[in-house]
Amino acid sequence: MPRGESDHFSIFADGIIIQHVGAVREPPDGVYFHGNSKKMTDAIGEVVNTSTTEIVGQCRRNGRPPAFGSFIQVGVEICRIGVVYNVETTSIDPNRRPSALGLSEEQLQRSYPQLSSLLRSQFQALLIGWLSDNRFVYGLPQTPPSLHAQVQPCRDEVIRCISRDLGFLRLIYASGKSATEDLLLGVCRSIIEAHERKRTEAVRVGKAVSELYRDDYDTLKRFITRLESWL
Amino acid sequence: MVVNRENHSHNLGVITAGSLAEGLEMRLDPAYAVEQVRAGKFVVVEGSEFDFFSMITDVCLDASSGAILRDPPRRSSLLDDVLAGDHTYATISLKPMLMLQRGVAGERFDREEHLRPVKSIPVHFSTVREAGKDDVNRVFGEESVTQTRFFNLGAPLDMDNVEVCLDLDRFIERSNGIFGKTGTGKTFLTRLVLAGLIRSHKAVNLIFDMHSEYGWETRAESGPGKDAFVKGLKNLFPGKVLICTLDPDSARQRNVSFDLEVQIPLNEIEVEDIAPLQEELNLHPTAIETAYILRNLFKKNWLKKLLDTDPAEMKEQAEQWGANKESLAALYRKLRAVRDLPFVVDKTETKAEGEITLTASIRRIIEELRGGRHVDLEFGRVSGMLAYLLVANLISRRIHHEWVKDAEKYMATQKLEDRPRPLLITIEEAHKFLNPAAARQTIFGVIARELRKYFVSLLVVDQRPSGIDDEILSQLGTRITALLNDEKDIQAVFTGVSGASALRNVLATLDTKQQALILGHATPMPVVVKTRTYGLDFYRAMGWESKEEKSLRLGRITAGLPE
Ligand SMILES: Nc1ncnc2c1ncn2[C@@H]1O[C@H](COP(=O)(O)OP(=O)(O)O)[C@@H](O)[C@H]1O
Ligand SMILES: [Mg+2]
Repeated sequence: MPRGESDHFSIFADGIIIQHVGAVREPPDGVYFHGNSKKMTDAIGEVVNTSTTEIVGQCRRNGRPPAFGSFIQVGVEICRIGVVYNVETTSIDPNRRPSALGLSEEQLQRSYPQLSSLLRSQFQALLIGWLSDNRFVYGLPQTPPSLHAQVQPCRDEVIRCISRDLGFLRLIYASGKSATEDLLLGVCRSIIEAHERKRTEAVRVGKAVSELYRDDYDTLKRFITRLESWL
Repeated sequence: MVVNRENHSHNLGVITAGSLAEGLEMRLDPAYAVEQVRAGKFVVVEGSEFDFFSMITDVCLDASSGAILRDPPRRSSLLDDVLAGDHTYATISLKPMLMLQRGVAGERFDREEHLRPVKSIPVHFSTVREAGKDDVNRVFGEESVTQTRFFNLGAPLDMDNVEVCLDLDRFIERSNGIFGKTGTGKTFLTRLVLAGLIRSHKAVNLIFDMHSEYGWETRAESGPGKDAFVKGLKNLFPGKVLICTLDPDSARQRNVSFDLEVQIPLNEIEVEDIAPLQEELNLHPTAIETAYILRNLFKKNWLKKLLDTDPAEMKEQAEQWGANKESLAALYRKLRAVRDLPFVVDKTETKAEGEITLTASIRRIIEELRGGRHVDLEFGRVSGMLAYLLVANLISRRIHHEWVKDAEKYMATQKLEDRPRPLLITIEEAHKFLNPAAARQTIFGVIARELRKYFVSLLVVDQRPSGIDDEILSQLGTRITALLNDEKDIQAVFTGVSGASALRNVLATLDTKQQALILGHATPMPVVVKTRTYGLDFYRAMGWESKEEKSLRLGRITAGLPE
């Protein structure tokens, strides 16, 4: 047991998941996130394209793609963190473009049961930092995540750790991705949902965003009002 | 100070701008709610080399962009909370009053040497914190350390167990004023200050007690002890205070004793005693000239002669005395009011106690004052302005005269035992004595202007300082001011004070009771206090004890036990 005495489960920065046997008890301070020892079933996808700025992940068959604006983690030795900024579903065979069938979902299921195996979902995630020594460091990693690495959704504990310092919001803001505002909004929502005290967290996140839109009150106002509608 | 947000810190904010002339600007830390920041609060700006002791003079709402103000967020919406503190914030104006080299503390610290007037301003982003007990003690001294010099007058705003002290040595070096509109606590403040002076033996007091509220118990009008009786100076210092009265019946009715009854025989009233009544009696200057004519003719009996004249014979008398008929008639009509005063008697009366002459009464008062006792002259039910003006001026004139003689003797001999005791004369409704016209005629104008050359100074108590002559106002060393609303009065209090504009705000925002701004000679910097409560704790601090306590203590002494 490398760290922590009786954590129920822990994943450390290196991504190793340990299941502790014994009493379930609140974990100590620091980075501690309960993982599931059956790592493979936890993964939502696999890295199929990688760079130091972003990755493309392919969803597991029949798996649900991650939500826009949600946090993902990838890598065992170094655990990189990203946010999902695009999800798309295309045909497996690049030469066969899907065309409209004009059927209801039910009919579709009945007539083309094999359809889902002909399609694939991919998601793109912007890398925003990595976990190191129980802490989240924001910025771009020196090396990209490896191809075929498993991609997992971040658990609430991890998100809380990541969002202790909200400086990474600026990376997203400055990423030049389309619909940045909505991406930020999605990320903020993910952060707030990982917290108990939603209102307090919303104010904190809102203040960080207000720094980004310092000179654009109209956008800020719209942004915060949208955020508020979710609370 | 209550903190309404998380991340409590003791730092109120940081300095963002400022100038020596205009004072400093502080950005309020978002952890503090602007509504908790009060004008008049005592704070410390921690510069890099100096601490600046400062007062909050204004609180102002600001926004980082005009756009926010054009389209304001809904109250308590998420946007409102997000903007609060960062984009919408409070700017606090501070007025630095004193500076102190940082790190000078403990034994090395010397008030006179190290507290300096502000000659510079702190560096950018200096932090501002609430003042602590140590800061206050360093600036204002501590009563417990040197009981006779410092007198605790109250606590700074939001700092209940801390004392702000008056430096009594400095207080008695000048004439002083206590101001505030009716019901704000002037009488209570005056009683406090007088008690402090009595206990310290720094000066003797002569109090013209218009409403008979300083000597014996009086009723409190409000507060927790509403309608309870509060003790007077005679209760607290029975052996040191002499009660004189103009209305012995009132004293008997209130069932209190007095030491001396004062009567004023007509033949002891001089023209100079009448002259200051011009405004009150609506006397024409020619009437005063007429009075002088009579005085030259009849000497001491001028007034009696005038008032004994048959109105029907006024014309003949005027011709005979060489006076203007109209003036004489007017003088007669108006001065009849003087004769009607209950304590004005036709001639020296002889009573069981012996002869009561004014001269004798005044001699007694002077002896008591010289002996270090304090004199409270009660007016009883004789509460009119005419009586007050006449008596206060008449008696003070005679006493001042004696003090001048004493002082001259001291200057000649230069012997310490000849040094007159400093005398402080307390007058209420001071604007009646010290308005620009009266100030030239009353003895009080003289006293205020001669700056204690003869060891006499004034404690003026007034709700309308704007009525007082500017020149006199600017001579007042220490001004203790409760709430004033009238713009003219506020301005008057700051006559002769440099950089007062910032303090005006502070004065106008005081509570309606038991709060005062102290400014001037007896404190190193202006400060707002919650006035010390005049009640049991205070009596005890002055050495008073209840009957039971006293008998208990005496019993212990006779039994040979420690007190
Ligand atoms: N220092 C004080 N301690 C206790 N009560 C006070 C004090 N100052 C003011 N008060 C309350 O306020 C009332 C009005 O004060 P007072 O001195 O009579 O006002 P003013 O003389 O200005 O008209 C008092 O009767 C008393 O109840
Ligand atoms: Mg009063």
